[in-house]
Order: sequence, then C-alpha cells, then structure tokens
Amino acid sequence: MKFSWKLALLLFFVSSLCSAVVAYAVFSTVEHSYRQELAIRNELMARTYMREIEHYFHEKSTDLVLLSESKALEGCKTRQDFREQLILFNNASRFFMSLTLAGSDGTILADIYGIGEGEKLALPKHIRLEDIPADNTLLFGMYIPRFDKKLFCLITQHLCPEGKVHYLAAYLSVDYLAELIHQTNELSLFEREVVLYDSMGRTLFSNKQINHIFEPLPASLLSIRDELLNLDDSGILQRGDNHYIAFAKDRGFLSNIQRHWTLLTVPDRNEKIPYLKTLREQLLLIVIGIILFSAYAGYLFSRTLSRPLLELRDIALTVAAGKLNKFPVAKGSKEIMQLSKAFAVMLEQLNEARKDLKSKVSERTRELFDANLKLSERIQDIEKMQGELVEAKEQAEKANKAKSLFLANISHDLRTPLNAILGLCDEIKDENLNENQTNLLELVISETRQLVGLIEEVLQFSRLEAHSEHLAIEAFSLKTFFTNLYKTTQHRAEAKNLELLLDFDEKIPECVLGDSLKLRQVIGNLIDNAIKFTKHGHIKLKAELLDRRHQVLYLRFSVEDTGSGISPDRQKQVFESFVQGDKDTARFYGGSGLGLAICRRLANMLGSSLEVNSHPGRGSTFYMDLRMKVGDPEQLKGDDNNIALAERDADGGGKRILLAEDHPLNQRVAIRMLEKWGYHVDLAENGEEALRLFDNHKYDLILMDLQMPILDGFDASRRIRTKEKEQSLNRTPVIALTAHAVEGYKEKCEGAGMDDFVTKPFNKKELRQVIEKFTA
Amino acid sequence: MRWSHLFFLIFFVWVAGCSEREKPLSLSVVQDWPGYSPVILAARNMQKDHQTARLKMILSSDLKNSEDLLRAGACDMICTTLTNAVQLKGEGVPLKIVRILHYSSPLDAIVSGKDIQSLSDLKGKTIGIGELNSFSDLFVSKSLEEAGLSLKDYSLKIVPPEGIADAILSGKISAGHTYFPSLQTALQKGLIVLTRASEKKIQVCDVLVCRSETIERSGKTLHEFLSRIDEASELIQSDTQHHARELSKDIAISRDDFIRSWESIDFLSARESDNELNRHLQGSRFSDAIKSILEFSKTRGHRPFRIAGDDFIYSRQGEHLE
Repeated sequence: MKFSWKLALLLFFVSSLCSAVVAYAVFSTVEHSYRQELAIRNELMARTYMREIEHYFHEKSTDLVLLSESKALEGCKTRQDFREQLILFNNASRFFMSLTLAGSDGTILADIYGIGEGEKLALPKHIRLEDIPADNTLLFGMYIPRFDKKLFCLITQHLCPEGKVHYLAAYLSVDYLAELIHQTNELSLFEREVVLYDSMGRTLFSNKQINHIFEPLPASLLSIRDELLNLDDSGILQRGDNHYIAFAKDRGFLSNIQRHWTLLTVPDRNEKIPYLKTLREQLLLIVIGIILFSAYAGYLFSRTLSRPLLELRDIALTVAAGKLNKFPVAKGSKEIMQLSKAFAVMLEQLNEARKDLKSKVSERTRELFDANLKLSERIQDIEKMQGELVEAKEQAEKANKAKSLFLANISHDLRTPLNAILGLCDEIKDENLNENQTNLLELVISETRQLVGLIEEVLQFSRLEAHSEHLAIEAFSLKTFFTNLYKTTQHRAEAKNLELLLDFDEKIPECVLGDSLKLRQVIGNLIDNAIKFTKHGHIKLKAELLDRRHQVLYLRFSVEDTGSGISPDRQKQVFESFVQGDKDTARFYGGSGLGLAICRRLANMLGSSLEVNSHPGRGSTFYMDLRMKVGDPEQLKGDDNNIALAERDADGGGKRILLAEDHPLNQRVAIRMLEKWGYHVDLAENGEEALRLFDNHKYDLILMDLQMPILDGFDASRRIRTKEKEQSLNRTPVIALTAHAVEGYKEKCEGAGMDDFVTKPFNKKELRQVIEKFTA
Repeated sequence: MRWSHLFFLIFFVWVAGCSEREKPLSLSVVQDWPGYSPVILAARNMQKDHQTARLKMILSSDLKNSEDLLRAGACDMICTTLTNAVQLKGEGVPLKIVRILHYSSPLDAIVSGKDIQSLSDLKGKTIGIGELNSFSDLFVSKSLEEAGLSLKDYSLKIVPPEGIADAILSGKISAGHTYFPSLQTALQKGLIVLTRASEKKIQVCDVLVCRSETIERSGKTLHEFLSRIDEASELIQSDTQHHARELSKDIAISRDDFIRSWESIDFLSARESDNELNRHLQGSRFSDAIKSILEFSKTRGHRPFRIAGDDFIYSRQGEHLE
C-alpha cells in the first residue's frame, strides 16, 4: 500500500476514534445536564399540575357547597322539580358530569340525566352517610355502576327546609384531569407519564393508564411511594444515570377531603428527547466531517510529502541505471532540494571512487595473474614431488614385504635346526652319559634355548614395532597366576641361593579380566632379570590392591630385588632397545637388551607403564600400575596347573596322530616326543602322502607342516576339509606346525581350515597342551 | 479492488449502520364494524406484499382496547369515532386524523317499541345510551333536540347497544341507541327504527387516527397504507361477495350480514377524505361535527378546549384539493 494511503487510513482511524470519544463525552455531558434540567422543569410541572388539580377540586367542591347552601332546591317538591333545578345549576355553573340528589337514606331522588333514580348512592366501603360533612365536601373516586364509569365524586350534605338531611353528589369525569394536565402540559414539549396517587397507594389518575385508575399503584412505583413518605412537598428522585422522577405533594387544599395526594411525572427511561436527538445527529455529522476532512488532509499531506520523495526515487533509479551522470536538483521544499544536492555530491564522490577503483582493480588483476603463474609452477613441482613420494612409498612397501619375507624365512631357517638340535639333545640325554657329558649337554640345551629365546625376543620386538601385537582379554585368577609364576621360577632362584618371596594382597578379587599371557611375559621377564642380576639376598614378587571403584581395580605389581641396582643416569636407558645396565653387565650376562624394552611396550599395551626405583648397591624395584576390571569367577578356566604337563609320560591312550613333516630331524624329534606321550604316530613326508593316509585311516589329530614338497600344508588341509564335507565325515583337528613364527601365518592357517598353530622349535608344553586340547 | 474503493465502501457501510431502522407501523382495529373492513383488507394486502415488515395489525373486539393501546403508545393507528378521537385528543394523546372513513350511516339508529311512533313521543320516557359523552349520547341528545325535547324532558339510562332490544322489551327503557349488528337483532325482535344517524343534520364520522410522531417517523409507509385503503374499498365494492369471504377470517360479522351492511355505508374515497380534511378551516361537514362534539362534551362536564387544526388533522395540502 502506498505511504499516502497508509497515512490517510491512519488519520482516518485515529480521527474516527478521537472524534467518536470526544463526541461521546460531549453528548454524555450534555445529555446528563439536559436531563437534569428537564427533571427540574418536570418538578415545576408536577407542582403546577398538582396546583391545578387542587384548584379544580377545590373549585368544584366550593360550587357544590354553594349549591347545597343555596335556596334553589328549597322550593322543589317533586323529583322533576329537583331535576330541573339540578340541570339549571349545572348549566349555569361550571359543568359537572352529573349532579345527583339523594335522600336521607341514600336513595337517589334526582339526577340531571335521570340515571339511577330510585337506586342507592354508591359509596366506598369505608365511608358511611354519617361521615359526609355538612359544610364541606368528601371526595372519593370509584366505579359508579349506574354510569358504568370510574368517576370522582364530591358529596356534601344538603339540609332541607323541613330539617331533613339530603345528600348532594357531584360526579367529575376522570378525563377532566387528563384534559387539565394535557392543556397545562401544552406548554411543555415533552410527553411524560403523570401519575396521581393517594395515601392508600391507589392510582387516582394516570395519563398512560386511564382505565386502570382507582387500582393499586404498579410495583415499579410502590417503592417510590415509600421513599417519598418523609420528603418535602416537591423534588426529584434519581433512579439511574439519567432517569429523574419529579414529584409534588398536595399542599393542604384537599386535606379536608382526602389527605396526601402525590403526583409523579415519570419520563420514559428510553425516551428520545428531540433536542438530544438533534444534538446527536449534529455531533454525528461533525464527527463524519472531521473524519473525512482529516482523512483527506492526511492524504494531501502525505502526497505533498511523498511526491517529491518519489520524484527523488525516480531520479536515483535513472542515475543507478546509468542514464544520468549528474544528479539534477529536484523541485520541492527546501529539505528536498538539500537532499537532492546531497545526492549530487554523493554521486560525484561515487564517480571518483569508481574511477579510482577501476585503476586499482586492473593493477590487482595484473598482480594476481603473476601470482597465478608462480602458483601453477609450484603446483607442477608439488605434483612431481608427489609422484616421487608415491614411488618411494611403493619401494618402502616392497622393502617392508621383503623384510617380512626375510624374517619369515630366517625364522623358519633358524627354528628348524634349533628344533632339531633340542630334540636330539633330549634324545642324547636319555643315553647313558657320564656326568661330564651330561653337564656339557645341559650347557648345549641351555645355550640353544637362550638362542631360541633371543630369536623369540627379536621377533616379538619386531611385531611390537609394527603394532601387530594384540591383546587377548580373558578372565583369570591373579592369585593362581602369581602362585604359578612363583612356583615356576622358585627353583631358578633357589639354584642361585636366592630367596623368592611372594606377597599377594588378599583383598584382590579372585577373578579379573586381562591378557594373562602378556602379563606373564612382563612379570616373568622381570623375575628372570632379578634372578639374573642378584647375587645374594632375596627377590620379592608383590601384588597389591591400591584402590577399587565399583568393578575397577587399581593394582600394582612389583618385583623387588637386592641386586646391584641401577645408577640414576642409567635408569632411563634400561627401557630402551638394545641397552643394558652397563657394558660389564652385558658382557657378563649376555642377552639382547630387548627384554625391558619389550616389557615396557607390553605394559603400555596393557594400559600401564613400567617404572623402576633403584639404588646402586641396594637393589631395584620394577613395578607397573595397572587398571583391571573384576571378572566373573564362573568364567575361570581350570587351573593352569600344567607345569609338569610336559613331563608326564604315556597318557595319550594310544590315540592315532598323523604327522605330515618333510624335515627328517623334525620327523624324528616329533615322533619320539609323541610316542613318548603315548600316541600312535603315522608319518607322511608331504601333503599328498598325508591325504592318502587320511583316506585310509581314521586319525584323532593331524599335525601338518606348512612348507612341504609336492603339496604344502595349506592345500593338504583344504582338501581334507573338502573330503570331510563330501563324505560327511567328522571333523579331524588339524594343527599347523611351522617355523614361520611371523605375523599373518595364523590367519592364513585358519583360512585353510586348520584348527590351531604351533611354532617350531616345539615347546613340549605348548605342543602337548594343544594336542590334549583337541584329543580330550 | 483499489484501496480508495475499499475505503469508501467501509465508510458507507459505517454511515448506513448509523441510520435508525424504521419500526413497522402498527394498527389496531375492532372486528365488528363493517365500516372498518377496507382498512383491514388494506392492511392484509400490505402485509402480503411486505411480509409484515412494515405494517403490523392488532384485531380487537372492543374499541376501548384499541384506544388504550394508542394512549399507551403501544400502537400507532386506530379506527374510531370522531367523538372518541376528540376525547383522546382532549386527554393529550398526540394524534392526528389521517383519514375520514365514512359519515354517520343508517346502521346507527334509535329504536323503540311499536307504541312509540316518533321521537317526540319519548317525552317523559327513559332512553338507553351506551355511555355518557359518547357518540351514542350525542346522537340521542341531538336527535331529541331536533324533536323539540331537552334533557329535562327525558331520562337516560346506560345500556350497552347489544342490550337495548331486551331493555325495551322488558320495559326498562322506551327507546335506545343501537347499531349494527345489534340493530339487526332489535329489528328482528319487532322493534322499530325511530331515526337513523344518516338522517341527522349534524353528522359525525368514523376516522383513522395516527400518533403524531408516527406520521413524522413513517410518513412514507403511512401514505402507502392510505392509498391501499382506497384500493381495498374499490375491491370490496367491485366484488363484495368474494371479499366478504376473504374478510371473514378477520372480522366478526357473517358474510351475509357484511354484504347487506356494506351497501349501507357510504365509504369515502381518499380524494373525498382529503378534501374534507383540507377544508376543515373553511367550514365543512367535518368541521361542524368537531364543533358539535366539543360543545356537547362541555355539557357533560368536560373541560372546554380548542382544537388547533394542524395539530389534530393530517392535512395533505395540495393533494385532492378541490
């Protein structure tokens, strides 16, 4: 909507509201005061009516008394005489509606119309003939049956010459009061209900209810009657905001006839007074005029305001469209002209700024172009470098693969002869050797095992470096764990005359969750080191509960010794790879220097850190703080009581095992070991032979070397699983035997359908555990 | 729609809402006087055309009821006698005569037993009238005055028109004033007519009166209604039988009685009525009637008053003036 229309509408509504409010206030005030003034006039009217009525009845009363006292009736003898006299009097005086003469017993003797002659005078119940005064009149209003009308009646005594008392009654039409009030009221412009009532609460007159006279006052006026009892002769009663009832009481003219007449003038509550009506119409016209004028004025004003602005807008749009270079001065008021001048100045400045901007933009564009050139050259260099990096990466990956292959091969090539050596040594031990030979053989076995351990350490270190070691979380008993550890190492400590102590905190729950093998490796290594570097004294293995929060345990495992200790400057270095306490130590004790480095890395994997407290000459304490969850004791496996497992003989129960192995020494060692444990062994020198034997015999277990001529272990295993499936045979456990103790082989074996994995050289205990696991 | 149009539309609706809605015109008519039948028919015809939105009719069995309604402002118009209209005016009821319906008709009569041959035979007798200071009183008084009898020569007795025949036959009165349809009954009972209102020198009339403020407020509706009265009269005149049947729902007169009585009534046309009303200042049958009524009411104890023509008569100046 246009601004001008908005303003016009706004002014329309505002002026409508304001003028309506003002007009209403003016009208209400005027109406209120005017009705008050009318009420005062009504009071005056009421007094006037009352006076006229009093005067009327007084006059008629006087006329009747005069007639009763006149001698006109004295000569009358017959009914006709009386009647003629009454007619004459009525015609001569002011007219009554009727005149009646009654005898002393109240029987009507004569009436000017002859109506009701011979009947009894009608009197109200409370008035007797004796109550009728002699020199005054009694006034009452009632229904007179013989006239079939409600009439006022004035009655007085008439004394006949004979001394008889007659009664003279004059009847007055109620209409006369209406006529009286109307003719008095002609001066007034307004019609009011006029009600006259007596002290008994009977309506004597009502110009609105003329047929209901001589009946009780309507309920609406009865309350007024009670209120007026103690008020003055005349006044105003307020019955609402603008409703005033005027009243006037009789002043005593009628008091000798009937006391306490009161006259009310009652305006209609909703009366439409012409003056107010006219005022309202005029006010309405004024309001309409104001509204129209204000709306039009608003429109004109807004147009005056908006037109130059719109022109200014059009000019600005033209300039914006580039059709004008200079801003013309707009016509209009001073402010508009100043505004257009300001626009012109602004436009000039804009033009200058635009020119400046153009030159700056072209300069910046050139610079940007140069920068782009340099950038593209740089991008080419980076792309070239990226290609080189990719190539280097590929080479590194190839080198890594080659390293892995090398490790696998060297591992296999080292383990296979070592396995054979250890096996042969075990065989030689059973021969009748003298003490010196036995000692030498033990030395060979010991050194070979050290060599195997060294290889194991190197391989594990390489796995840790490559982050290919994984945790195997399971439930186990820490108490059993430490007890077993204690038992397995105790004899070594005793061999060096060292005291091995176990301090286990009994508050530690029975079952915990963790990787027991890695923990065993760390703690075992620490104990080995302690035994190795302690000459006398004791070694203390300690497990304590530091804290417990719900199901989480905060534990400290420590190995304390009374050895030579480590100097503070060497304490940090002992955890580094290939570093030992000192050069003398290395020379004296040997070893790769990887033990503590592996331990620390394993401790890190377990979520802990391996630390040392040491004082040279007094000993060292290696400890690790570990957080472990409490496990479910029901998940605990049987006791790891396999210390003597490898030493037990012949409990295989004659179960049949197929050994697929191509290396003669390994064949020999394995067969000897298995037969010693009580198993019946069939040998296959390659995979194909193994398959053939599998077809002809039922085996409880197959030990399968992976690297064999003709058909390797992987393919042989796959074919066995296929045959089982085709012939619906029971699954025969296949255990892989390999010297390839490198990462990835275990998964490859599982993929070929093998059930477990044992590395060469055989660890008797490990091999027997696996075999018993699958043949149980 | 343009905003300016909407603006003015709202404005006109608002102004229209400020104007006062016209109240329907209300009319009260007695049912047993055939002289009022054109008024009833006109009202019915107007109601048919305007679905009572502009005219409301109240049928009454008693003239007093209609007069009370007018007096209290509960209705705007009534049909009544000129005598009563003058009395109402004297009381201060703000009314104007808007239409003369008809003058005294043969349906108003003084009846007696067959022993009475003329009005002059009523000297010393008792005569029945309906009410003091009424048309009945006036008619009897003036008739006897023409026959040379004054008030002292006879007595009056208040007897309603329907009781006149029985009162004569029982000897309570010798003669009395009655009118249709009681007149028919009286004649059937063997009474005779001594004189009829239509034979009198001074005649009064039946009129349609309307409250003064209504004339100002609903002048247009009133004019339409007045013209419809003329149409209705012509309709009844042209096919009395048909309209007698149609009117039988609203009037308390049998069809045959209506047909017979309608012929006796000389219903004034609008033109004749307006001429009478317009000429009341120059002297006419109508102004004589008012004068007689005012003088007569003085003798019946009423306050003498003067009637200002324009205040009492709705004179449509220039219309139907001859």
